Amino acid sequence: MSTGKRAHRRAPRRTEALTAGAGALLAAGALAIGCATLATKGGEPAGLPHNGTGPFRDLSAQETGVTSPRGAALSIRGVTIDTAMVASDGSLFYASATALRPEPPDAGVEDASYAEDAGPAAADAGPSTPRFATPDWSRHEPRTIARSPARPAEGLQFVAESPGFDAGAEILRASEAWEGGFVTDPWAVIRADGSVLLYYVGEGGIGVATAASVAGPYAHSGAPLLAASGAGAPRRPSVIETTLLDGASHAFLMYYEEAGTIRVAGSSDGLAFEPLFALELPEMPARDDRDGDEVERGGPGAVVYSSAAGRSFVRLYYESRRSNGNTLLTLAASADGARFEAFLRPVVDARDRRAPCASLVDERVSLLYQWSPSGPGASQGTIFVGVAPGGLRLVRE
Amino acid sequence: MPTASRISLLPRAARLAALLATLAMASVGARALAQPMDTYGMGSRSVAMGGAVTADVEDFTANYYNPAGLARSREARIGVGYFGAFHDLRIGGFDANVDPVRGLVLGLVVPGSIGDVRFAFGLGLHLNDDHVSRTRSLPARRPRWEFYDNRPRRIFLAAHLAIRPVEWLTIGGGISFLSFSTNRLSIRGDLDIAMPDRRSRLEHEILTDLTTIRYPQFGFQVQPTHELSFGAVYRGQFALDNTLEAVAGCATMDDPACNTRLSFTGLGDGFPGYFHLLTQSVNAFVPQQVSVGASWAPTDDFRVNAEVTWVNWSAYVSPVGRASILLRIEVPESLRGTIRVPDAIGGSVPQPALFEDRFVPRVGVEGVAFRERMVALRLRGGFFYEQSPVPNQSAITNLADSDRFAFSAGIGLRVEELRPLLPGFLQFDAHFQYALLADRTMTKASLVDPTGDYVIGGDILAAGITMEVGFE
Repeated sequence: MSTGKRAHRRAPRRTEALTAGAGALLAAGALAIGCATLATKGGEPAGLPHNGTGPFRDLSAQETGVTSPRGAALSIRGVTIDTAMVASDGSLFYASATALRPEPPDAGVEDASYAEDAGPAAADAGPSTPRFATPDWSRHEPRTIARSPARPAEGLQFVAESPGFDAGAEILRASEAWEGGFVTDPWAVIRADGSVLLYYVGEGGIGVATAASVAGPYAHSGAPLLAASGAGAPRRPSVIETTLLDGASHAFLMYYEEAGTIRVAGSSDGLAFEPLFALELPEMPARDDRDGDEVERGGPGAVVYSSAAGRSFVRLYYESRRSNGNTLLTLAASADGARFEAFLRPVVDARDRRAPCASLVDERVSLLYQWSPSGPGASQGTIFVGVAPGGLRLVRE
Repeated sequence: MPTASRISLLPRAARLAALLATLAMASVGARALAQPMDTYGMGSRSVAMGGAVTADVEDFTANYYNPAGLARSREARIGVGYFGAFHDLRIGGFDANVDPVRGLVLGLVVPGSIGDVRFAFGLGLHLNDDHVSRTRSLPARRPRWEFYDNRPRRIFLAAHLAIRPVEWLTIGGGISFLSFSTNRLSIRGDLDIAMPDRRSRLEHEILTDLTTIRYPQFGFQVQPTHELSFGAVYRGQFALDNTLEAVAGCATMDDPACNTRLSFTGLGDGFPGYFHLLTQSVNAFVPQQVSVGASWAPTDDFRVNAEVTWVNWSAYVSPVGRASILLRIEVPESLRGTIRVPDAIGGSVPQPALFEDRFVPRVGVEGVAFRERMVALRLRGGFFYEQSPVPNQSAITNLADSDRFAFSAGIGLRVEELRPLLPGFLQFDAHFQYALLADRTMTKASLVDPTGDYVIGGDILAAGITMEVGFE
């Protein structure tokens, strides 16, 4: 009984304590709710998934470290640059030559020679630059192939190495009779053991030079892998190893241009290729009358891409050459390297870019190196570089 | 005697049932919006028990879970609470920055009787903190967390009526109200091409309507014994047709009666233009649902609930709708080399969502951890698993969603016998919920799709408090 009386005496005090506690809880809750009920701006994603197919935005001078022209990845005063590619170690392989004759009077002024090619509008405007123009290599020293190692990416984000390059050192010069005195269109495959297969073009077709490491020295092949024939001279080889692809017919696949089409050759060792077939790609439609109709395809640049889902497939960038002389860069992709699905839209705004070569930064970001004629009468060439997705800014803020 | 009592009650019960049916019929066919309770639940006790309360709810949250539960309460109740849900959701390795959802929940239950038949009227309200309503019409390809990004940002108001014609049966139903908006933007004036910032003179007009929409909900509970309770509830389907129209200029550009003319100046004598954008999409959609649950209380201090909800996701209408764009500019012949007007601007067409129906299992437990004469402390736990109804996004749309595993826990303190301070009880509840959205890889059919394959996943943390006062 005494316990029950104590319980009854405690009850009012407990009630008061509980009431006070509840009141305090309510007050704290009301304060928290009042502070929380403030409107905020709606959130936006920090980024969106993208697989870097394109379209590509030309990088700025700040992003490449190459001051002119805008978007250039490599520009060497007094040297005419031909096509280029970036290998898996990040180094740039390019062909170039020095002009034999004096250049036009304004050529000594930096940037002046690029004034006519400042952008797509300028490229459309004048008939002075011949369409599908290439430098007159007969007025140059023989073309050679050089390698420029990657530069550190100072002040940049997303990339481990700078997308721009300094002038490199010569690694290959024509020495075989079939090469006809020049070598160009380099494409390097760096194998797992560090050895290098450097494919290139000479007058007589496509050859390969080998080296134990990327620094060389490079030994020429005695004969072309794919020789020129009545159909035309094969050029712009682009070679991939197919270890990551499901259903590929050969260990190596080479995409190359011949007579306005893109063809495929296969190899088990990368040293002897068997021509296979021409790629069947649908015609890329014109967006408007400035695009013209597709008349040729060429300049293939292949890369093996692995997606976030773990799928690997070939991305093949190539030139769609138009009836009005413009060149549009576009893309096709294939799981087995043989049957391609075409993108059917340009991946670069400019209508004068050629010889594309993609360099994959990661699953989302790609760089696309492109060659473009420039200067009066297309007397020079420049390597441009763009990034996809285009909204990405490489300069660290 | 029980039989006689039931028979005598039937005419009055029938009248109340007719009233409920009338309310329900009035709302059939109405279209409404998603509400936050579908995603996060309502009220701390119910959320803590994993939402498995269809057979065991009698507080103000019955306005969402099962309106039949309103008639179980013998006290008038007023409840107020606050909750927040915080998302850490990723798409393709990026933080999707899905906004938190925070809001007040309010409700009341008012019981009464007509003769021997007990009835109750209930109101429930969810009021988001920072968005009364939000509309987002995103490009078809834009990835988004379909169920968390936009749909929960609504006002929700529900009004229900429930009856207890016999002691072992309660029936309830009513309608829920939500709001949505329709928008129209008109622009007219002169747009100077050479110096658009300085010389343009444009007027615009925006018309926005906030419109109320409603949908039905009804259910019942059966209590054959003191220990057992069963319940079922139906929630109607609702959707929002979201229309945005933007017009600049007059379609009949040379009509002298046109009073919304748009002219381009700054080059030559000026020339007229007309632009029309129309997007129609479903901004939010919640399919019809049926929940069936049971509650077993072997003792007064312990209860276990289980239920399953069928969700008719296959009826889901994709938010990717129709968009049409018309641009007409009558460029003078002399300027046609300079100004190019595209022949046509591509729009978009609705993409089927192809969602699949799902059964969502839920379980919850509640036990008394401490009890004295006037105080009882309860601990609760719950779980539910929601298999994602969203198929692999292999085409152009990117509606992100993955399987959700939700774990919840809660605590409740009930204080009774507070006379003369309060002729009833005070109930304080708090809950915490963790939801894991399992990593999922979306794989594209096209190898040249610009979005490509991507991985989604994340977590949601939610917490809330609720206080309820009951008056005898």
